[in-house]
Amino acid sequence: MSIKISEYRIEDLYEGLVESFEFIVTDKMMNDFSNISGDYNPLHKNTDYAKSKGFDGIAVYGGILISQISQIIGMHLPGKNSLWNGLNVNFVNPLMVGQKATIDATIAHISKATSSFKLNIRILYDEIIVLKGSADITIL
Amino acid sequence: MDNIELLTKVTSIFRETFDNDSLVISENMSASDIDEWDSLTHIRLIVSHEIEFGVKFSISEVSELENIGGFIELLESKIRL
Repeated sequence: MSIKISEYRIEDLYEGLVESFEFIVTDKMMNDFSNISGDYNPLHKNTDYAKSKGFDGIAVYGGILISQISQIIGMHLPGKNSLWNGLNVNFVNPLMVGQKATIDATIAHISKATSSFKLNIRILYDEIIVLKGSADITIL
Repeated sequence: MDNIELLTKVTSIFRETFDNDSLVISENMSASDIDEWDSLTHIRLIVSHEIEFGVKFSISEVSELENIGGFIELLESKIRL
């Protein structure tokens, strides 16, 4: 299996440039993340418990959403030459296991003096914002 | 924007970047005077000023800076353009 990775350089970037992809969080991803993180909170493991707290089903870990941010930075924008400096996120609405979500990242500011840029990031499900945030990236 | 307002904003950005609410900056200070001033905080300082003041710096402009006074002069020249 070949993995495609972008190789943007600072001179290739412009403010407003967008990269995005769709993803679905599966039961296997949830189980893998439980073991990686050591977080076995029933909100992420037990459907009855999640519903009793007002959720439609098992809520996806915020850490898995952040892992998709890692993918969009490390593989898509800018890809190979990225160094992630900072991240701010707000979890606005829950995402459920099995729901198809979209992540998009838009360049909000480019600083050529520091070879770095700021990305505005959103994760959406059916036009509902699940996550909103920003990341600071340096191009090596 | 007058000089006092500019210095107040710059000080605020330095304090937020270095997470130090009592930090006082002066024209002669440079990276060697603040322990936490490393390559990452340097990037944050430059980018925060660019965003706050709506300006852009070039690599050569930033690399020629010797102290905070020089930086404020550069910033003033950009704002007044």
